[in-house]
Amino acid sequence: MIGLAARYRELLMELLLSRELAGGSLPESIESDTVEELDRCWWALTAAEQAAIESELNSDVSPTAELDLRTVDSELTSGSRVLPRRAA
Amino acid sequence: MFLSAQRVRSDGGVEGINAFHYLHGPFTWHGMPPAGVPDQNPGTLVAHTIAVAPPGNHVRSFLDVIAPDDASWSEIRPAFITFVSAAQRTPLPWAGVFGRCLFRINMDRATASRWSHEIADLYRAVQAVRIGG
Repeated sequence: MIGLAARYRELLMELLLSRELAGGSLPESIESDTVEELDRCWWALTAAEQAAIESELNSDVSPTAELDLRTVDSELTSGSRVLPRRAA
Repeated sequence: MFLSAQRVRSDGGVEGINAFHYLHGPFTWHGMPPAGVPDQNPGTLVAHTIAVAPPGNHVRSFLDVIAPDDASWSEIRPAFITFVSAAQRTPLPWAGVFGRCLFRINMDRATASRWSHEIADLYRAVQAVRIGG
C-alpha cells in the first residue's frame, strides 16, 4: 500500500507518459478519468503534502545528468550474448 | 528477458534509436531479477531494430527493461510508471526494481533536458522490438 502523495505522483507520471506515448494528447475519456482520479487523490492529501507537491511542480527541472555518457554501442548479431554497449 | 533501447549518434552526426530483445529461455525468476542479469548474463539476442549501424556510435541515452520472458506489458507498464515516478527527481542514472522488473535509464545532459519525451521514445522502441508484442 503506497501513500496518497506517492499515488498522486504516480498518477501525474502516468498521465505525462501516456500523453507522450500517444504523441501529445489522449482521448478525452481516458484523460478525464485520470484527471478525476487525480482530483480525488488531491483532496485526500494533507495540506503539507499538497504544498510539497505544488512546490515540486513549480520547480519542475530536468534531472541532473552527465554531459556525456562515455559509452559506445557494440557490434551485435542474432544469437549474440553480449551487451549492446560498453564504456568508450 | 532483456529489452534495451539506446539513442546513438555516429561520428558523422547521424542519430537514431537502436533496440534489442534478448531472451533467457527457461531461466526465469519470480521475485527480483537474479544478480548478473543483464550485465554478466544479458540472454540471447533474438531481435533488433537498427536506425544507425553499430559499432562505435556514441550512446546518448538508454532504457533497459529486465523482466521474465513471459512478463506482459500489462505487468511491465505500471511497474515502469512507478519506477519513473519514484526516480524523476533524483540525478541520473536511474535504476530500480519494481515487482519482477528491473529498469535502468540514463541520458546525457542535452537529452535530459527533454527527458519525458526521451523516455517515451525509448519505451516505444522497446515495445516495438519485442517479438510477439
